[in-house]
Amino acid sequence: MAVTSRLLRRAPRALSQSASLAYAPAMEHRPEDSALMLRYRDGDVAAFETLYRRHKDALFRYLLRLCRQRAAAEDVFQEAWGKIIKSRDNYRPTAKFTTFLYHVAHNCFIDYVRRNKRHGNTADIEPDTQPDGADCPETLVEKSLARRRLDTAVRSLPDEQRDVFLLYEEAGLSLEEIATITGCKRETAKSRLRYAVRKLRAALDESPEAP
Amino acid sequence: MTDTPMKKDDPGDPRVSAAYREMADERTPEHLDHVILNAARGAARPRWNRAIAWLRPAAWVATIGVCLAIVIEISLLPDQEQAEFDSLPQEAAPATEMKRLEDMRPQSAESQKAQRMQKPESLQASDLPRRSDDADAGASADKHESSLEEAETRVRQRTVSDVQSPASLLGNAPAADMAQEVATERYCRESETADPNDWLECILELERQGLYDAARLERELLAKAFPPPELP
Repeated sequence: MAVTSRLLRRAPRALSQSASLAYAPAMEHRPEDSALMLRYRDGDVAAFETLYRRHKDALFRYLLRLCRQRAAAEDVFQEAWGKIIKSRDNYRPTAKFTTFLYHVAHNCFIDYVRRNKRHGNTADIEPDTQPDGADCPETLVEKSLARRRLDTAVRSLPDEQRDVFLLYEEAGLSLEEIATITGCKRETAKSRLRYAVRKLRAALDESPEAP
Repeated sequence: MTDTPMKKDDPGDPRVSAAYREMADERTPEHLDHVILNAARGAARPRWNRAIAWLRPAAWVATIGVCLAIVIEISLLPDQEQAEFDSLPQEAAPATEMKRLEDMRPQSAESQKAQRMQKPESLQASDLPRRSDDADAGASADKHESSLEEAETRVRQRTVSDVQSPASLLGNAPAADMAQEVATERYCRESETADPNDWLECILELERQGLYDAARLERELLAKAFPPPELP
């Protein structure tokens, strides 16, 4: 009984820890990001490796869903990190490093869109629909369908709303920071995020049998 | 952000966030990791390379500069020694004077003997006045040899006195007095100074031996003792 209660007490913390590991950049504000960047500015490559490993997956997912093409996302991802590397001498820790990073990535994406005017809806990313093997088949199929529906809903969001939603979810930025990056007012960012969340909630609530 | 409690005006939905997190599990391709990390390493390296790029020419310039300084120092060193030697009072020079005398003495004797040997016998028999000149020249050579011996003796005495009193080389008061004494010292004998021609011959001999200071001194004394006649 005591063991069970202890497990029950630890379960939420374990869940939150696992979630914070996967979404670490989105969860915490780490002031040492700026310190790492300053150390890299002074020539410490290990500091940059730490910084990169901390933010790379979230940024890649952000760009992957923003570009909707894996090759384009990889190009923009590489370009963004390249700019980060080049701008290390001029880096000033006046804001969160996450804001700086996603601002650069957002600008790279804008440049990419301008270079490729025919940026359409030719998405080539497929959500991972492979079952985990831990759940029962019905649950797995239901989860897979839910993921597919959410992915489709994210891809079908307007660019501005998708951008705001991804910055909110992947980067963990506040509305003010999102407004700064996207170049709009806070209320506009908030409105876009609200619309995006409403559409995604509707997609999640959508019954699997619905057309 | 989404784990933190939602703010009042936060439009986020925890259920949507959880569903999105479950869906979005893509990872960065490894080849991108390699490319970006290599770029980061490469970008961090040139800063040091730039320093090396400046360091290497600077090292070369410094090395060349040091070498030039050493060469100039070495090339100027004898001149400085000479200047220091010249700046010393005259009693500091006897070692060199003695060396010069030793160098010139056999040379002058040998050259005079060679000159004597080169004279043809016909000319010796027919040209009596010249013979008498030769005899005079031989006498004057003997006289100069004796004067050289005397000068050598004087130089040796001065050298011994310098060794006994090294302070004279430092230019202090006794050395200055000695310099004055040496400056007034005579190089021609009194028997030579009695006749202006002999005195002049002694002066010329001193000049031939390279003792220009002594010759100048003797010439001044000669001019004082035998002033040139006033022209009408």
